[in-house]
Amino acid sequence: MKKVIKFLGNQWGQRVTILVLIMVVMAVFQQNFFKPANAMSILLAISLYGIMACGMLFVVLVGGIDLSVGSMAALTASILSIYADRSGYTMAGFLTGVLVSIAACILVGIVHGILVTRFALPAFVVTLATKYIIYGVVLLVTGGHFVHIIDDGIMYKLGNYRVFGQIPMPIVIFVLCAVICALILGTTVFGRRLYATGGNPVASKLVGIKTDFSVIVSYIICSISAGIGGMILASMNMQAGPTTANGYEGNVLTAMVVGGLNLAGGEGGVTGAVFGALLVGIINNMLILLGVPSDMTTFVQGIIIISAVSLNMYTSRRSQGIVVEKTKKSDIKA
Amino acid sequence: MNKKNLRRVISAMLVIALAAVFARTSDHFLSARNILQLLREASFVGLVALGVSFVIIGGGIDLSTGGIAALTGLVCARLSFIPGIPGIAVLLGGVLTGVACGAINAFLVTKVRLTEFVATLASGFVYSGLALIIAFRRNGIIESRPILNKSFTVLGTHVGGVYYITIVWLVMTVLMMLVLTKTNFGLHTYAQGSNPKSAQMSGVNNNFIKSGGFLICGFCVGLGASMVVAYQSAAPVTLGSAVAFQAIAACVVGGIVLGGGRGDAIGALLGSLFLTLILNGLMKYGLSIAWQSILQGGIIILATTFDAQFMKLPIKRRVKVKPGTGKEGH
Repeated sequence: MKKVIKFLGNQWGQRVTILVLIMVVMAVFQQNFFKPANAMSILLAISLYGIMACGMLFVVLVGGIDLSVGSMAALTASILSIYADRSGYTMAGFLTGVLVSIAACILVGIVHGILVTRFALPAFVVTLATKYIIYGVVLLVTGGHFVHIIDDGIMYKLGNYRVFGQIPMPIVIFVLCAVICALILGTTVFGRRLYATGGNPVASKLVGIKTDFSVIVSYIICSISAGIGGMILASMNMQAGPTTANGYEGNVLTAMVVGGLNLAGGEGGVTGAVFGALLVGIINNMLILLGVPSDMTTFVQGIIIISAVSLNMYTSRRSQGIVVEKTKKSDIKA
Repeated sequence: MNKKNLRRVISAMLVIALAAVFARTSDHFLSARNILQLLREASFVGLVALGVSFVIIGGGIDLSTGGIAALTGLVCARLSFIPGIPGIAVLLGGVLTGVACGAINAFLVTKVRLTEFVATLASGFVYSGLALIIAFRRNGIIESRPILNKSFTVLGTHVGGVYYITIVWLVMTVLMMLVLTKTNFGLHTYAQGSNPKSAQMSGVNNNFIKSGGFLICGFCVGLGASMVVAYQSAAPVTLGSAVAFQAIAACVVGGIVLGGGRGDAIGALLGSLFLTLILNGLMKYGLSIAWQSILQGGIIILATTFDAQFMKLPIKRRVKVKPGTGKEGH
């Protein structure tokens, strides 16, 4: 039993166990899961969640959370589609759209960061509120309608082009994002400061780290990556509108906790985020293949988040040898 | 005037100012019928806000109220189709569903020790997922069936123009005000919200207070959702999708500080009135759903920032390091 707990306490132990479980279930019920075509569709889904998860990772590392990623993706998807559509799908129109989208992301990120640091509001309240504000802006920008993309140029290629005739573009962008994030976190001073800020804000401040700056930048990175995800999604769907990326924050949050990241901050890396995205993609795919109605996905998501966070908490406490002892009433009196 | 009263006056002034604007611009705003309709609309948000306020005052948050409302509504609808069932039993079933959801939240937070917002966000997914699962379907497509159970839908009607749900809301507000001010439980809730550590050291049972908050929240949401279903004679699966966020906004406007320890039931009441008035007014002036969304988000941010900056209320203990001393201060 001790060995089992130790194995499950190890992050890779958990990951391998979950993957093996899924494989067994799918091997019994639905062999189509293992077909190459399905692997491709899983990879496409993963790349979207993965890009967003890589950004969210920064915010989670400094102990925050961003619930506005879904709305942010819808906003950039709409802005890009509108600019591309109005310009008649020229390269210039596309690039303006991308630049305006990124600018919007940076603005939102700065607002999040300032509200969280300078005004010391709880991150989830701020981002829950901005989620609704951004959603309102999306409705204003699109007029509540879907923008349809009719193009076979750059706007189509962003989400559907196959590099070397094989690898879809979103996956390439995802890998690029993951590598860049890993480099930022692993090799730069900023990355180290981010971990320090998340691990112990007081100590970081005392040693002279500008913690507010780290937090603001991490929110900007999160918004930008959500925005990139949204733009790719617009191109993949060839349309964008108010319901684009609806509920993606749930998926990304699930990816975070399934990836074994500590929501209190200071722990975790890109591998966790990528693995989380992988698992969320596989599980969603599994539900579809098993014929579970799409209404059930939120239900399953909720269950997964709860069980993953509980498992993380339980095993990390056990593996570190910290077993919480209950205070006896007699101790308090004495 | 102390801070608490000042904040109360501010939220009351907001409601009065808004009402004054509408009374000036619309002739029939002050008609008894319109006011009673507005009160009915405010009742659901009000009841949910009342429940959430307990959790917030205790230092937590409940994001699952939307899911609880949707689930409760569908349980009521399902129950009301049992032939010969009395309306009060349907109501009881709805309220019990709410309480059960609250109990699950309490279990997740106190025993499994998840953070409040993660636990309730995820459990909210679960509840709304369950609501979709037990929803009425025709050929796999969700449909909203009219509830014909007369003894249940009578709960949605009014007596002398005042809707039952409004009466329930006002009675609950008074009751909760008494609980907050006159009982040990209320006192401990404030203590826990202000400073959980010192509260625990002075003998407050943290888990008991947290569980109590979630149970009361589940109770209020269940009650509100059941009454709304009775009024609408239908239980749409989208019943709770807007109300969870509106309730938090109402709490914040009413001076219930996110972070805990401040505010009371009257604040939740004023906040709900304000929110209903403003959303209603927006609709009257033909502003789109886009502006409603922006406004609700904006209200939360503005009100929280206001409380943090100008009222100097402790939203979250901001870490300040005094240069040179190496000491941590608040």
